[in-house]
Amino acid sequence: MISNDDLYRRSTQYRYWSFTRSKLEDLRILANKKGIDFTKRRLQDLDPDLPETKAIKEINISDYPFVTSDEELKIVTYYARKCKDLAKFFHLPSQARATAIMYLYKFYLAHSVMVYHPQYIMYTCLFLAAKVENSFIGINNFSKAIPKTTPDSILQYEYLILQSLRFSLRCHHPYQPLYGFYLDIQELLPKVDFKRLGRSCDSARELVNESLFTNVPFLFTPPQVALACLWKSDAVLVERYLAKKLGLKRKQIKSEMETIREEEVKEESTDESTVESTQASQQQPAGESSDHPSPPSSPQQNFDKLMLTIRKCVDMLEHNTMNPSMEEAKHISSKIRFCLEPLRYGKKLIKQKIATAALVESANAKRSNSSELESEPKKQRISG
Amino acid sequence: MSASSSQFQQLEKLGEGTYATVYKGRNRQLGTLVALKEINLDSEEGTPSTAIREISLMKELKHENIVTLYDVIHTENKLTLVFEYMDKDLKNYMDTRGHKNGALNPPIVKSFMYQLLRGITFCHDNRVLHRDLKPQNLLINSKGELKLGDFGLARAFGIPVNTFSNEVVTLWYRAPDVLLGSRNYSTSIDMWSAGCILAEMFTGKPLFPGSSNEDQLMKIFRIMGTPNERTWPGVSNYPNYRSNFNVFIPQDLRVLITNIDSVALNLLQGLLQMRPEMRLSARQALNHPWLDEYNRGGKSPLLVFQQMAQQQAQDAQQLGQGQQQHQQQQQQQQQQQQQPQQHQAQPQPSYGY
Ligand SMILES: Nc1ncnc2c1ncn2[C@@H]1O[C@H](COP(=O)(O)OP(=O)(O)OP(=O)(O)O)[C@@H](O)[C@H]1O
Ligand SMILES: [Mg+2]
Repeated sequence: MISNDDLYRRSTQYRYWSFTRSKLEDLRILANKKGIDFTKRRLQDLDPDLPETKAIKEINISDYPFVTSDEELKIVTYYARKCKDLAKFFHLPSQARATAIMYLYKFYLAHSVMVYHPQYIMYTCLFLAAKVENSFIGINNFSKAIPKTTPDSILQYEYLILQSLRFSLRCHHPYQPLYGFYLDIQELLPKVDFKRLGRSCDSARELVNESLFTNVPFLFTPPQVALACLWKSDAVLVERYLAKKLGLKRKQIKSEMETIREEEVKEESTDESTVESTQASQQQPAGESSDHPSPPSSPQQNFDKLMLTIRKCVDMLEHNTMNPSMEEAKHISSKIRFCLEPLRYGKKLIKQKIATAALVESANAKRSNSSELESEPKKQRISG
Repeated sequence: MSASSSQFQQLEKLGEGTYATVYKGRNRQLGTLVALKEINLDSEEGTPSTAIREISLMKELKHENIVTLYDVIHTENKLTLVFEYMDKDLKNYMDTRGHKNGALNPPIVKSFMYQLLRGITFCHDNRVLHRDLKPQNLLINSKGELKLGDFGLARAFGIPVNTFSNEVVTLWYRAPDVLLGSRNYSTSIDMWSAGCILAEMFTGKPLFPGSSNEDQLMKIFRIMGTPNERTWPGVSNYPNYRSNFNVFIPQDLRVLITNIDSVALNLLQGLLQMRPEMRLSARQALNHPWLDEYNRGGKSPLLVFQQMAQQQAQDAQQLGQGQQQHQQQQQQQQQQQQQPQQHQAQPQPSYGY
C-alpha cells in the first residue's frame, strides 16, 4: 500500500515548493537582486540626451528608489490579499482562491516586482487558477469585471506564469486535510461535542485562509498547517485527539505538554535549529503518522515531535502574517513604477530641482529685502 | 525545463485527436524519438483547459504505465507537449498486430490488462480519474509496454466528492451510471472502461458500440440486462432513467467472447458491474487471480513480447534461408539489432530524449 505520506512526497508541491526558511529567504533575495540588476541595465539603456536621463545620472545610483526584498514580499502580499477579494467576487471555491494566491507567491520566488508589476500578474494567476481548479471563468467576463484590463492584457502573462511555476500546477492546501481531521476526530472521539468540533473547525478554516499570507505553505505540509490551525482554535481537542491517535494514555498529556513548552523556549533562542527540525518533521508530515512507522519511536516521542511542529507552525502564523496597509502599498508601488519607467523618476528629479531652485530664489528674494549684514552668512549656508 | 521548438525535428503525423495533433519528433542533439503533441492556441481563452489539465496531472504522475511528459514548449500560436515516444496506440496495435478480426492472443491480452490496471491503480492512488480510457488513449511501445496517455479529460478528485460534468468518456466506454445521468461518479467510471477494453482485446470489436446516449444504454442493457429496482436499488432515481426502457435479460458473456477463459471472465464480470459500487476497484482487479503469474509469480508482463520477437526473428531467418541471399543478410542484421535491445529492455531510457 502507498501511504498518503508517500503520495505527498511524490507531488511536485513537495519536490519543487518545499523549502527551509533560509532557502526561501535566499530565493527572495536572489529574485530581488535580479530585479535591481535588471533596473540598472534599464537605466544604462536610457537615451543619454534626455534631460530625465541626465537628472538620473546626477544622483548616486544607491539613492535610486529600488524596491527592497522585504518590500517585495509586502507588496506581493498586498496583492495576494486583493486576489482573495477578487476570488470572492467571482464566487470561486476556496481551493481555487488558495491556488491563485500560491501561484502569485511562487511567481515572485523567481521574479522581481521591479520587472513584473504584481497587480497584473495577480489577475493572470487568478484566471489560470480558476482554469486549473475546474472553475473556469471566460476571459471576456473576467476582464470586463476588472477595470483597466483587456483579455490580452491578462492572457499575455499566462505562459510566463506557467513556465515560472515549472508547469507544476497542482496545489495541495490545508482545507482537505482539515476536513479529514474533522471526520477522523468524530471517529476517534465519538463523545466529542459536535457543536464545539464544528465551531473549532470553522475558526480553523479562517486561520487556514490567513495562513496563505505567511511563509507557512512553503515550510510545512498541508496536514501540518491544518493541525496547527485547529490546535490554535482548540488546543485541548487536538491534543486529546492526537494522544488517542498515537496511542498515548490521556494522563500523560499534561506532563508531556509542559516538557514541550520548555523545549520550545530553548529552541527558539537558536534560530537555525528551528529550521533544521522543521525540515526533519517535514519528512514525516503530520496526519498520517500511523501509516508510516519509519524509525520505530514511542507514542510519546511521536506526540512530542508532532506538537513541536505544530507549535512552530503556530508561532509562524502568529508572528508572520502580513497585512500591509494601503499607504505602504502605495509607497512601494510608486517605487515599482519608477523602476519600470525610469524616465518618470527622471521627471520627478527635474521637478524637484526646479522646486528647490524656486525655493532658493524666493529665499534669496526675502533675504535681499532684509539687512545685508544678516543675509550674507545665510546665503552661504544655502549654496554650500 | 525550457526547451525550444528548434530542438526537435518534426517527423510524420502519429495521430489526431479532438484538440491536438501528435507528431513524431527527433531530438536534434541526441537523436532520440519523442511524441510532440501540438495544441493550437487560437482559442480566445488562452491555453485550453484540456491542455492545462493534462499538464497539471502529467507533472504529478510519474509511473511506468503512464506516458511521461518531458517538457512543454511554447511558440507564438501553439503549445507543444513533449512526450515519451510510443509506437502505437492499442487501437492501431489491434488493427495491425492482432488476428484478422483484430483480436489479440490471450497472453497478450493478459499482459496489456495487467499493465492497464497498474496504470489505473496509480492514478486512483493519486486521486486522479482518467475519465477517457479507450484503446486510442492507451499507448504501446516496441517492448510491449502499455501506458496511459491523453489526460486531457482527467481530473483530480478530493475527499468531498465533487459533482462532475457527465459529458466525459467516449460513448462506447462510458459507464451506465454516467449514461443514466450520474454526476457523482468516482473511480468506478474508469473500471467500467477497463472492462470494455478487456472484452475488446479478446474479440477485436468494441463491446458496446452505441451511436447516441440512448443507443449506448440499449447496447449495454441488451447484453447486461435492463436494470430495475430489484437488481439495482435506486436506479429509478437517476435523471435519465425511464420506466419504459425495453426489458432485456442478461446474456452469457462467454457466447460473445468465445476465446475467454473462466478466470478472465470472472474478472470481466467484476468490472462490468452495472452498479458502480459493485464494480471492482483498480487494486482489487490488479490482485485478481487471473493476474497471479505477475503478482505472485513475479513474471514480467513484457516476457511474452520478448518471446514473440525471438520467435519472429527465428521465423524470419528460416524464411530467409529459402530466399535470396541479400534479403537474408538484411534480416540477420535486423535480428542482431533486435537482440541487444531485448536485453536492455528493463532500464528505461529515462530523460535521454
Ligand atoms: N506518446 C505518443 N507516442 C506515440 N503516439 C502517440 C503518443 N501520444 C499520442 N499518440 C497518438 O496520437 C493520438 C492522439 O493523441 P491524444 O489522444 O493524446 O490526443 P487528443 O487530442 O487528446 O485525443 P482525443 O480525441 O482522445 O481527445 C493517439 O490516439 C495516438 O495514436
Ligand atoms: Mg485521445
